[in-house]
Amino acid sequence: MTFSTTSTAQPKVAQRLQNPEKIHRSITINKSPAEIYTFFRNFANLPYFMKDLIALTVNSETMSHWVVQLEHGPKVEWNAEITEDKYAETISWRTVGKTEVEQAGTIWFSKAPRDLGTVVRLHMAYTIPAGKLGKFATHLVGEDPDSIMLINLSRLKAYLETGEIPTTKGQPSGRDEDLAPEMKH
Amino acid sequence: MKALCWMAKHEVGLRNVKEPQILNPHDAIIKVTTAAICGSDLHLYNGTIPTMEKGDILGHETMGEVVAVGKQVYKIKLGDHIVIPFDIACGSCHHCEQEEYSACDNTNPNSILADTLYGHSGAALFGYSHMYGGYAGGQAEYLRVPFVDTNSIVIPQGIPDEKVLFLSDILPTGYMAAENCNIKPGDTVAVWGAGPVAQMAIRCAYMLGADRVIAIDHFDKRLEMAERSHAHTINFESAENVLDELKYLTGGRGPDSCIDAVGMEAHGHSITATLDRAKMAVGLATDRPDALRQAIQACKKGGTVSIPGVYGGVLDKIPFGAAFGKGLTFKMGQTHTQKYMPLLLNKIMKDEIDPSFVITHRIDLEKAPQAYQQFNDEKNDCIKVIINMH
Ligand SMILES: NC(=O)c1ccc[n+]([C@@H]2O[C@H](COP(=O)([O-])OP(=O)(O)OC[C@H]3O[C@@H](n4cnc5c(N)ncnc54)[C@H](O)[C@@H]3O)[C@@H](O)[C@H]2O)c1
Ligand SMILES: [Zn+2]
Ligand SMILES: [Zn+2]
Repeated sequence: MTFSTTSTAQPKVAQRLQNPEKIHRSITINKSPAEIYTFFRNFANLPYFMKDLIALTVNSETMSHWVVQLEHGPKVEWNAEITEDKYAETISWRTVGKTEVEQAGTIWFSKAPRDLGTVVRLHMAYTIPAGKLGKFATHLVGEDPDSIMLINLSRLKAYLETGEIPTTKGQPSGRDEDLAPEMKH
Repeated sequence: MKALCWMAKHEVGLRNVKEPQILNPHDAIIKVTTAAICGSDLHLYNGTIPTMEKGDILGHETMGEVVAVGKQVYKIKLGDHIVIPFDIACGSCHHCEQEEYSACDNTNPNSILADTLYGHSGAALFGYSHMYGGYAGGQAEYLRVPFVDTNSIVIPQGIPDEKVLFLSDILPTGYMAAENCNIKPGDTVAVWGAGPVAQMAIRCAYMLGADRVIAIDHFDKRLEMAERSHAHTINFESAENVLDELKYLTGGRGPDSCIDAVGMEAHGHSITATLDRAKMAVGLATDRPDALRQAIQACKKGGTVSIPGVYGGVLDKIPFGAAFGKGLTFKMGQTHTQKYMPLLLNKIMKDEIDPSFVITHRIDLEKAPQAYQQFNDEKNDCIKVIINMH
């Protein structure tokens, strides 16, 4: 099984974008292609695992509205349209109408070797205009779009394989901001 | 609740912190009854593991009573007395299915940090830096245990904590280190270090059929303890030449396998060890691998070097030519603790091993910050510290 990461494998719609940034990432998930496809295709599931995605409204079979609040950056919104959809194989989408982050993406689900489950590949192309989105905290590890998508893939994997996403948010520590009020001094 | 927190290099503080809560459906909370300080904690104490933050709760050798369970906990019940493995595994990824628990894909929320540093992230660990997940540790009165059905073993009523606490780490670690040696009848196994991990490795090597175990350290009381487990010992400070001695003891062949139970902070006065210390002091090196160098040099042709000792970064002057020239096999890594816990509990129950023999200090929580210093600086007398938590 070989995968191409050249431009021919880019989602066709991406060609519309001028000089887009590109993301190619893949991950292996211990579930069947059909299970992963079915979970992913129901976009209402996406906020369960996608970092910073604070709201997603499904408006029709193909249209959805996304609201993303970046951890150390601005809030951005867009409308997305599904442009290709093959059961247990692939889904493509692109943004429509006016948005600050124009993007197009394709996700493929293909059987992994042996009993390893499914290889999930994600290709995205996006443009970030200067200005507001220049505030993207791209200098922090894990906060550029490429890292965010990589983190999202690991979170998708964790959610599907275990039913939860690993976290330490809310655990105790000896840091002043984490101490109970009566313990602060 | 009270918890031991990493405050800075060489500073552990006892702080009053919030109690942990269930954060995910497979979590449980335990009321910790007994915890221990591990040689691995000393790497944190000495500031040689990156990504620690002031206030992080320490501890990964821990046991206690279950006081709360999440919605999707099926095996573990309230009131169960459980020992917790130091590594956190999900139980359902491909590595967990293969019993490679310390290679779990799904428990490290900061996997991108480890990805960047190591190429891939392994399982998260309790109380062991943000790169390893940033989970609060078990040297605290209460502990949140993720995926508790996978990350625990239930202890039958009436068994003292001391006998089973080390199922959390050093006993499985010693066992896996010995298993990795692939011991055959007649084999000699050399073990660098006579710390708690080495003490377990010595017993496990005999359990797995070694003919003779040779332990190397420079603290007499640790070596005496090894002798009580029937190890032949070499004090590397008084011996003229450890490598010659090992050759002599093995008819010139060298030990069939070598266990490095020292890790990244080896002591020593060899030229390389002195250079390591100088480089570490100015930030040019991350680890002091002098025991590993010796193990590679000593090992017989075609033998195995098994490395339970922890390394964190980029190692300098490793005699890779020697390893290649002799066709050595290397086995290493964080222990797949969950894999070995049932087997070893069984051996404890059948009185085949009682790992409590390593304990030299039993203390209350209030004394624990000083105990870190003592375990680090007074290694001759202080071999293993356990903390009574409640
Ligand atoms: N792989 C794992 O999962 C795992 C689990 C637990 C501990 N560990 C690691 O195992 C190592 C040992 O742990 P411990 O609790 O026994 O620690 P420890 O610090 O008590 O023991 C280390 C011993 O090595 C001796 N030593 C130092 N330099 C030496 C040298 N050049 N030659 C021979 N001996 C030397 C010391 O004198 C000491 O007795 C540590 O690196 C620890 O992090 C790994
Ligand atoms: Zn340990
Ligand atoms: Zn796992």
